[in-house]
Amino acid sequence: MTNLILIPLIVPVIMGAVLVFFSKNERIQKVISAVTMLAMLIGSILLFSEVLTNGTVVIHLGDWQAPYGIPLVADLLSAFMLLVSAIIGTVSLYYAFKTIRPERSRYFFYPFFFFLLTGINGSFLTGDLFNLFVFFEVMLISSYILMVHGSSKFQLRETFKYFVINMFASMLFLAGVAYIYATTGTLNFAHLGVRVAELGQDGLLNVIAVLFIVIFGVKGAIFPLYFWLPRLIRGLLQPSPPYLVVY
Amino acid sequence: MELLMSIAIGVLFMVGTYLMLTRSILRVVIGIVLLSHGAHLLLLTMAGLKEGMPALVDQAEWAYTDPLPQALILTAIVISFGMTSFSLALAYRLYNVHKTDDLDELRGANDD
Repeated sequence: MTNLILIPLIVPVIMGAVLVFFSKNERIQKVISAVTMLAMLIGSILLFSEVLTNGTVVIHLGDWQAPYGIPLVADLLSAFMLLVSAIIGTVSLYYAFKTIRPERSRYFFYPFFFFLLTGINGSFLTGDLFNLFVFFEVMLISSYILMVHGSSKFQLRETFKYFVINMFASMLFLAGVAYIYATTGTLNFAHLGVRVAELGQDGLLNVIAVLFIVIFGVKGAIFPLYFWLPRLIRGLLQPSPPYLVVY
Repeated sequence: MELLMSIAIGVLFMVGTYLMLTRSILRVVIGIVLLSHGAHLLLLTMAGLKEGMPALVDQAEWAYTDPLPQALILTAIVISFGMTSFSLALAYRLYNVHKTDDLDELRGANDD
């Protein structure tokens, strides 16, 4: 049953790619995305119950073992977050069915909705720092596209600012990954925990920790770094569907 | 070699940050590109630069260059390539709709 962990990752990315081909047909798009979303919801519930009964589920991609390969880890927290993202995704997809106008859904709304969900689920599941960066970028590029979708004046302007701020934070993220790799020699989360405990709490690790607080603070809009968020949400709510699954 | 690379990274970050703070959209995009190059070089340098050793994991080799940073940078370059092309498209569309590339004029009113 460990392959269950792949469902929230593989289903949206394949179905998103399939949906690209049906972009002109409103009804097929709606049927496919509704079925996909329900499958993801059921998969997340199954994974959650599996984790609840049998403990953490780990899969090593390509059968490369832990310090070298990339593991996907579903502990109780990440399984729970997957469940939450599946529920919010389902709700906002059904809201989008009712509210989105056909002339907009024709321009790849549903594929990018599922690519966004891929990025979110991936960043919950991954057990590797650099892979977290990759899934963050998958999520971010879908979110830029969904935010500018419709390309009104207001959306274009605010999305550009959001893009610049997030690219800056992403490059800091890359620098943080470099520092972590130089200090500890590993990027695996479990291995990192061991190495950091061995190193003790010296100044370099504190600097890296502060760097990561700034990065995730900008991306997740925590208190002093939230300045870009309010206007962006206004730009989103005007043309209706709620994209803010992430926040 | 590490010292030279550090100076290059510093210059790239400096120029990138300066360009991001200017008012022209295209300069901001170029600033992002330079910043990402700086981050990639940082990733390469932080893992340590060894000369004259193959980037292979072979049991027979007594020493090898760590292949992981190269793999990471390859992924990061592809990602920043995609981001750059998206940002150019976005900047072009922004210019077409707003008829200006001055970010000061793109401050915008609250009600449009």
